[in-house]
Amino acid sequence: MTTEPRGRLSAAGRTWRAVVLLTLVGTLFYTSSKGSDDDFPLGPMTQFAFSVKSSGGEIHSRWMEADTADGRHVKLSWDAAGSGLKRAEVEGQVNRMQRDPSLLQGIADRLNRTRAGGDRITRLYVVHDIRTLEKGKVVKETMSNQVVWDVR
Amino acid sequence: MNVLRRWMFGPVPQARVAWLRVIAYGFLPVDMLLLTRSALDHAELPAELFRPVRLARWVHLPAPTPAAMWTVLVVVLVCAAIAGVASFRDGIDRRIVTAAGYAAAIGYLWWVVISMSYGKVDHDHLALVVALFALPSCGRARVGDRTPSEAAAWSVRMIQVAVVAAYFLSSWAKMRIGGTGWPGGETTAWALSRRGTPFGRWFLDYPDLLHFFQYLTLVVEFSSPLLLVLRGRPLYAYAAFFAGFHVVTYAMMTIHFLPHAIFLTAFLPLELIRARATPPPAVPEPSEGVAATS
Repeated sequence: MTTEPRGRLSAAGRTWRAVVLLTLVGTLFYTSSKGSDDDFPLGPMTQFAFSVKSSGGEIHSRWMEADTADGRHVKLSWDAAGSGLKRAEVEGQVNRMQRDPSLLQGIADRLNRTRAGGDRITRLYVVHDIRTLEKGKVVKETMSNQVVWDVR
Repeated sequence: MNVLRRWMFGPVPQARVAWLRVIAYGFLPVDMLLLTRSALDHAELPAELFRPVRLARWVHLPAPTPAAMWTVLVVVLVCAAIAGVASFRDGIDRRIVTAAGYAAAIGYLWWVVISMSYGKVDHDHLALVVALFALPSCGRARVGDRTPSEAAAWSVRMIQVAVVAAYFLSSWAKMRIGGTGWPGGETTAWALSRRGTPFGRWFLDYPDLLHFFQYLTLVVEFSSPLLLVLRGRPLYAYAAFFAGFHVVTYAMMTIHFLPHAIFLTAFLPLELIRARATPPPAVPEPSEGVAATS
């Protein structure tokens, strides 16, 4: 793996390094052409790669809210320190949660581990916000509860 | 072939690798305790929420537990400290430095794969992962060591390629997924609407300006391979331009891309930081057609 004496590499040392570098480049081009985020850490760079129409385009956002035992309705943190999932991860799994809302029980358990009495979570919501664009500007906003779970 | 070989192995000072190790290993605590700390949070969730990415499935990585992830965290940070400190101290065995470097790389890969296996993948970790695997391959390297080295050159090139790939393939993905109409769409408005700062949201009233930014982004990302061929001041200026690009995106939407952006330093002559301390040694006998590059 290393070179002794330092400075020059042996032919074998050059060969394996060249193969590794070219393989890295080849893999990245392949996954960029055919792959998905599933290929992390060598997957395609799909951040912000989608397109949103200027007129009729929609901006979807989802986040979690909760009811507490003492009757409050609270918005949960968007980072994983609170619920264990980041907002984008909730969005990434929202279809599964919609099919099986009991997946939210584990999140509630984690939240309630550090809560007591009236602060305890009794119901969880995944809220879905849709903003509609017209000529690039938001002209309409609708909000709904996409998933609701009564905590056991 | 000679051109490719010269590009891949044209010697660079060992000191550059030493400084890149300081940057990579010094950044790991920041990354693991702040940016990808979700690996610890995920470990407290039920296994049903674990959605392992392909690599995790290939190696049958189990759903994380708090004990496992805390252990990975401690091992990686200890190994990173050893490998990083070796940039400044003599007397640490070369094999220990190499082993600590690879242990940190493997442990960190485990950690970051867990962090990205819950429904969302971040795209700013390619350069960091590549750096952690490339940097241990050239043994001991100290910040004052200006010995030209082909192994150091390869490590630096690996990191540079990862940095450029992240930009170039980002524009590639925009064409593949968003299509040629991407720069005329409202993707930036989408991002600003979801997570824009007050400064960034100000631009929402100027869709044409956002379109201009998108065209500019596409041109800049597609031209990023120039970073691999430019030399001297034009190279440093272009690297600085990309750093400025990240500062602007952070100011507009708090997206910092730090695990990637810190490796723009791989395009700089980092060995000059300690140049005055150690005069450069005589260049070893050059191989045919191989010139020292920096």
